[in-house]
Amino acid sequence: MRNLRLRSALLVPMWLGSALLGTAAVSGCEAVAAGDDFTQAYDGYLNKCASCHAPGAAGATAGIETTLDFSTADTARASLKTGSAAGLTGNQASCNGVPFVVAGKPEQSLLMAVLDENVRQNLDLASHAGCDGTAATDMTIRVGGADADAIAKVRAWITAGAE
Amino acid sequence: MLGLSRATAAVALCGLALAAAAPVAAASIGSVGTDAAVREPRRLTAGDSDQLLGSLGPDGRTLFFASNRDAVVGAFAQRLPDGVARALFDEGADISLPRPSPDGKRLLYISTRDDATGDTCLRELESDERTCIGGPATAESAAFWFPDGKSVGVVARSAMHGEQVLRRVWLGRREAGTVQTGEIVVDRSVSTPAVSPDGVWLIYVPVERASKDVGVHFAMRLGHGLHVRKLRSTKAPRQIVPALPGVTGFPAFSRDGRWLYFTQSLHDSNGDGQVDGDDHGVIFRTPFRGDQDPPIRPGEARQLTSASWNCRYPAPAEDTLIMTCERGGRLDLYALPLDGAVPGSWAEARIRTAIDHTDDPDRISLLLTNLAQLQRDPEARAATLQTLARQALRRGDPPLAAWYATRAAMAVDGTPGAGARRATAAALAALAEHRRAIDRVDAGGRDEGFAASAEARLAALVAAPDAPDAAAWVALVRAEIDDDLGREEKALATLRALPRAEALGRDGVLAVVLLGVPRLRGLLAPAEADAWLWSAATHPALSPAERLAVAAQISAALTRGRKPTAARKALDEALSRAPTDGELAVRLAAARTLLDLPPADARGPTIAATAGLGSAEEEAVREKIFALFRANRELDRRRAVIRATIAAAAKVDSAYLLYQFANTWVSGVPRDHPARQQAVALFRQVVLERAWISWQAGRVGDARGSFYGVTLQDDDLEAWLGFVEARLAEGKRDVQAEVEKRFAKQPEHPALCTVRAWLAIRGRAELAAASAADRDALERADADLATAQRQMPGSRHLHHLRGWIAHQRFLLGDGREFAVAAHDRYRLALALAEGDGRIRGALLAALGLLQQSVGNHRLALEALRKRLALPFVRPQSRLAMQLAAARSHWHVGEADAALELLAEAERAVREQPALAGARGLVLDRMALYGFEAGRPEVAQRAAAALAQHPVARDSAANRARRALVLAASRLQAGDPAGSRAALTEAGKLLAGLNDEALGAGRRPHQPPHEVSRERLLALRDGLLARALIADGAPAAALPILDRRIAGLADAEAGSREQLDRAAARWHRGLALSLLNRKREAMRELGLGLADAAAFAEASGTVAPPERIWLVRSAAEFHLFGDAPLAALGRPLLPDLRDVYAALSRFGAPRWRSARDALQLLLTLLDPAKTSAPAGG
Repeated sequence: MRNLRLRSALLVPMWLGSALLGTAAVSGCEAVAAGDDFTQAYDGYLNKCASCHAPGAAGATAGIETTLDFSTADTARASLKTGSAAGLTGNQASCNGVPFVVAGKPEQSLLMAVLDENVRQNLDLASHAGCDGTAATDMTIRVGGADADAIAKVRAWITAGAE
Repeated sequence: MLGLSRATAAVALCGLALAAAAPVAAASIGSVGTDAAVREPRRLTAGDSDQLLGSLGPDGRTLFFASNRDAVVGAFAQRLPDGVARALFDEGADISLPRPSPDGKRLLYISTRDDATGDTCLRELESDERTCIGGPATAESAAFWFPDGKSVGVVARSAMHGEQVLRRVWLGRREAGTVQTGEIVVDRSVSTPAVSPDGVWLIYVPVERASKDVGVHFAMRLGHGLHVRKLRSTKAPRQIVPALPGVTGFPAFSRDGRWLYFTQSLHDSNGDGQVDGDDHGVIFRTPFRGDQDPPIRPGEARQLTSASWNCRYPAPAEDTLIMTCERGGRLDLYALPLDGAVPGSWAEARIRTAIDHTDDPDRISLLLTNLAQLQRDPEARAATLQTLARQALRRGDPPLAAWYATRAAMAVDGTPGAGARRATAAALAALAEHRRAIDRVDAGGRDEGFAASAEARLAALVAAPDAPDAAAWVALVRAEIDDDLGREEKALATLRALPRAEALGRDGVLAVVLLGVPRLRGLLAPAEADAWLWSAATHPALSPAERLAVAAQISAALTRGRKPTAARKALDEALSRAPTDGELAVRLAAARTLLDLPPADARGPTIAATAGLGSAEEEAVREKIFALFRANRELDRRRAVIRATIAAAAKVDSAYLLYQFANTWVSGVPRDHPARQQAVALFRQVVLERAWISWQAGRVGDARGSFYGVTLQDDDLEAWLGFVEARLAEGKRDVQAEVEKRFAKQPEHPALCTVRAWLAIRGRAELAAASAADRDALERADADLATAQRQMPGSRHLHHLRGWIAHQRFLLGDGREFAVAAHDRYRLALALAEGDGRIRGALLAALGLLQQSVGNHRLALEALRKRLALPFVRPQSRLAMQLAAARSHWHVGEADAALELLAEAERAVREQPALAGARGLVLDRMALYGFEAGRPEVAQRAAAALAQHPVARDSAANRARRALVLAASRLQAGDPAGSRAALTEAGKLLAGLNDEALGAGRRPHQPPHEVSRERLLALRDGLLARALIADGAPAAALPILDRRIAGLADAEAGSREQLDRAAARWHRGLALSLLNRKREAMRELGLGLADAAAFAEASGTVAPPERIWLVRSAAEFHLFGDAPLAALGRPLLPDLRDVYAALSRFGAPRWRSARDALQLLLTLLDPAKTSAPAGG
């Protein structure tokens, strides 16, 4: 029983043209309605992360990553783009300081590692050798499962520079 | 007396939150699983009785079955998924095989009402009209519907030693006379027939006479296999024997006719030396090809249930298989998907990986039989069958092992490997025979010829020089037989001559390690036995999982029974010898590190590095285990490390390590790997456990977060309710809105329905006032839960909550049917909660209180005792259970047991400040039960304590009752003056009370109290009279007793009041005798005797205490007080003899002194006719 909330698309500024790579050629109205890859991924799936990763989130507990904010697509994008993991403990502690996204390099982005099991199993970060497939957590089980389409959009967003 | 309802109802309701995770069942009624994992049968019925022979009606939701819950076996129906059964009709005698008609309007069954040998009967379910077929001339044993619904098949015999004949009887056709015999379909040896849905084929199990001297009904055995023929054919049936060990029974067709289900007894589970219908049943199904002849092929049957379950009577419905299974000594109905426990969609690879990730030996065997069915490669199939042989031998079933080994040989017949397999099969067959012979001797059978037959088996063992594995089997069997013949040296030499492990294949190594070494460990030196294990743990022919399993055995053996220091040393030494890159080293290293994990009370405080969740000791262990995990990339090795860590962490309650490694494991297992399912389930369970641990530690925010986290993964109702409670504890009142927002698009989501219902009922623990709003709330909540239950039919939480609502409806006086519904739901929830300690505690408490409220105090005690044996989170809960159990003990006359519980309760109240408020209640009960137990000192002490520390908000009614108990205790203790003082106080209090005040606290479902003001005043009068007499003032007692007797002038015969009047006359007689008014005294005693005799006549209670006092007093007063017997007004001897005979007949120890006294009196009054009582 999945809770697939379908929100209407957010308005997206046209200067995020690179994020529309892969979408069909559109008129101005359609481009604004669809949003870029990140927005679509957020609307379709990543918004679930706010259950735990947002101020006052119902699912927040001790030991959770402390800087992410998935309250809205904008706050999520902002905290992912420039942030790096903090507050992780135990087996995940070696991923503290690892950037959530490395522009253009999804295979080195922690965000991809927690969503995509192939990226996670093959994670190899020169700057943080301890943060590998054993330290990165599968976040998809915490929201009831993975969404291949959304994960593909996240990958596309990062590949395109994560703007 | 003070009521328990507030405390105990609160316990029951709070207990609703204390439940553990339950797997979510599939949505549709009856369907019980997905293809993601091996399925467990889902329970449909539960209770203290047996429920059997179930089948689903044509609507797919009504379950029909037989049950002995009402003493006789009756027909019942239950709407799924609701757990409440209802009796369909009152036959007044046992029935069997209830079967609904194809249109669901009638029920066919075998009745013993008019014919003890069985009649086939039909009931119209709407009108209850009953008709029967056959009559006293026939003995019917089975009946079933033909698919057209217009005729029925009946199996019957017409003479005591006659044949079992199958007839077809057309309904609606009237034959001459009233007995319908129908047309013969099969004229002999029929049992459990079935007809295909298209009406073309007939299948049945043949039965044979076990003795030529008596009929098949009295001494029968199942024939071999099944008989199959076309219904209209006159040819002899074909015999089809499934390619399975054991015997076949209970064939049943699937609704579409494409499958035949049946029960197979595979092995001698009851150890009586033969495999027959008395052994465990396993359900199979085989394809049925109605367009072919024969329609069944022997080798295609697929096993649907595990051999650890004893199941039979398969009844396939549209999408569910209903079966009767025995668990815990009871029969109940269960459901599985039509393709059984192992999903039919699973191919070989999937089954293999499931085998690698299962520890349950019966489940492994189930998977292996399914695998063997699919395998086309002969060698692969033979290897699987050989594994089944090993499994069977490991379970102690050599005949089954021999059977599988023989099939393994047949699978590769004609190939080069066949000879070795035949040698192995022969060795196992010899072993089977040998162990059977040992069992016969052990059971006291004669051992003549045992040695000779054992020698013959040894001689027949064929060596297999070119097949090392087969040679190993032969050697192991030879060693065992030699050992049992007392030739230990020879056995040892045989074992030592075994090829080295390196020379053996997988089968040989496993045979030696898993079977030979344990069995013959006493012969081998420990080092030799261990050497074999070490060889297996490093053997290249074994899979990594198998090597790790052996490594786990070695690790366990090194630590078992050793103190930590010695265990560390043993593991260090073993590690120094183990190959550094092997599974053994991994497993030993894990065990060694985990030894450093101390129990909770030996750990330091939590540290920041663990976010306050773990101590320094736990963090140190975590680091090392994680390093070991990372160093080993193979999934099998990682799984072994995780399993060892989870087991060790659970043992010492290390929530930190549990979470860390459950998280690491689930994050690392590939999504399509069969281990994934278990990893996800483990992670969810650990997070839920963490939620409860946080809750218990007062970390409400963490608890809330963890509960919520579980709800994100799964529709876990326990997690949802925990989240709601945590949110409320945080002060957030809008939690329903929060949940509604989450399920905005799914208004009937089971979680939302359950949360809504929970919020409606959680604040209504005290439902003494039956307001319309309360009832509305209960009904709406029940409707919500019913909606949820349609989607989650196997949820124990929903059965529990609905049971609670029905319980409340009963307490509100809405009718006894609610108590029955509550009971059924609680029992089903309890059955579904097997192994789940949290919810079991709450359910046992609820069931105990329910039984108590209907007056079934012995049944209440069963449940309450079990609850008291489980841990309690809060001392208040334990106290409430102690008080409840004490009350039931008192009601069943076990006042001493009640006092024991109260003594514990009093101690707890004294020692724990949180319980101080309950002190009054405990002392109040102690006073009553102390008096009842004949321990007035306890009663008086409690009363004195209460007087010194009055109960807050105590009522005049309670004080009046307490004063009466105190008066009775003082009288019992020989303090009549004290008793009179208490009675004066009681009189003052009662003067100001009315019936309404006295009845306050009575629940609507309880019958009107007998303790009206009038009755309490009468009780007071009776006690006062006794106190006056005992205090030397008998004259003052007379007017009180006169008043009492006058008040009972209208007592009905056989009533309690009549006996009270007899007692009052006894007291009056006593008072008159003390005043030396002998004639009047005897006259009074005579009147009392008349009352007591009339009571005995009307009630059947020949010797109540009052009658014993009366006859004894009359006799003694006459014999020793010179009172004239004639003044009695009636002959004394008949009464005396009656009472004496009653006391002698029943012989209870507590009547001994009275009986002896009466014997003496009889001897003195009637010496010629007195005799000693039977038994002396």
